[in-house]
Amino acid sequence: MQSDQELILQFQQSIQREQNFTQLVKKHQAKVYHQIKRMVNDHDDADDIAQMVWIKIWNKLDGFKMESEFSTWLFRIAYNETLNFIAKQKRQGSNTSSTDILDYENTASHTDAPKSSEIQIKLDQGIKQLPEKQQFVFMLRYFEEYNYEKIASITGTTVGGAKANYHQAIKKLEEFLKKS
Amino acid sequence: MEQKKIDTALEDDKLMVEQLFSKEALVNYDKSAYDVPASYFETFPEKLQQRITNNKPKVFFLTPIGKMAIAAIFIFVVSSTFIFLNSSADKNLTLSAISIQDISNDEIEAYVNANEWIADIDWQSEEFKPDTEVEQFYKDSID
Repeated sequence: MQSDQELILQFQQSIQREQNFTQLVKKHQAKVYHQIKRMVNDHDDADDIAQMVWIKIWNKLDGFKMESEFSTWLFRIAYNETLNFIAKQKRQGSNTSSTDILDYENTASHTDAPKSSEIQIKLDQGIKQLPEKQQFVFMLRYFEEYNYEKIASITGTTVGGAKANYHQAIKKLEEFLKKS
Repeated sequence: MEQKKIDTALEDDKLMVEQLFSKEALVNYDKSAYDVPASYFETFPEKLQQRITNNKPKVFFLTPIGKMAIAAIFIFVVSSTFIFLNSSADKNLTLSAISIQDISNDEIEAYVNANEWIADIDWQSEEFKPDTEVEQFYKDSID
């Protein structure tokens, strides 16, 4: 399997652009989709954002200088697109996140044991009440297990800033648990 | 060593969350992100390529060769315009020189005669112009 760098170089040299781009998509699509889905909780929204992210990659790949890892650049675009999408939804007064929680509460109460579902709901609500940036950092650190250097590059902050975001997220989750 | 340090930090960070929520709850939370329609990832690249193809008129990219070609065309247009303008200016000069030489003496005399009053005015204005240098010489010699 060819490395990201090889695929990008060939794309930039106009050698089988579409094939090389498709290879890149196949390699990274799942991780990008999952991260977006964690943020928006809806498949159609996640699919739409993922497509916008990859179209941006297609348009800008010729100018990519490989100073950072491709996956870092990709996640940075995904981060920006996701936050833009959420901000746009907020401006339009969409309230999907609260309805999602209600749906989740209904399904969880039927499927899991009461105690387990209660923790599940609290976790879901706790994560939802975090600011988007903290949510993103929290998910990259906990679920994707990225180091702070990479998280900082993705979110456009310093390593200290990324660490602070993660620890603030934990603190807010703790406070949320105490309140509820 | 460095990798071990990073991993320990990651473990500590994960443990902080797992003390608040059970590991099982966190795993279940993440499962929802992995719920995708059947064969979604198999069809996604094709769907994406279709969307890119449909948007192609808006998409404008330049390969390094394309950039070089545009630069070469630009240099060619600028240099050829410069050369053309210079050569046409030279032609004008030559033409005007030839045209003066081609005028016969009779024609020149007729022109001067017809416009003699202009020459008179010019001479008159020269005559009344104070010659400052000469005046200064006289003044200096008197003093």
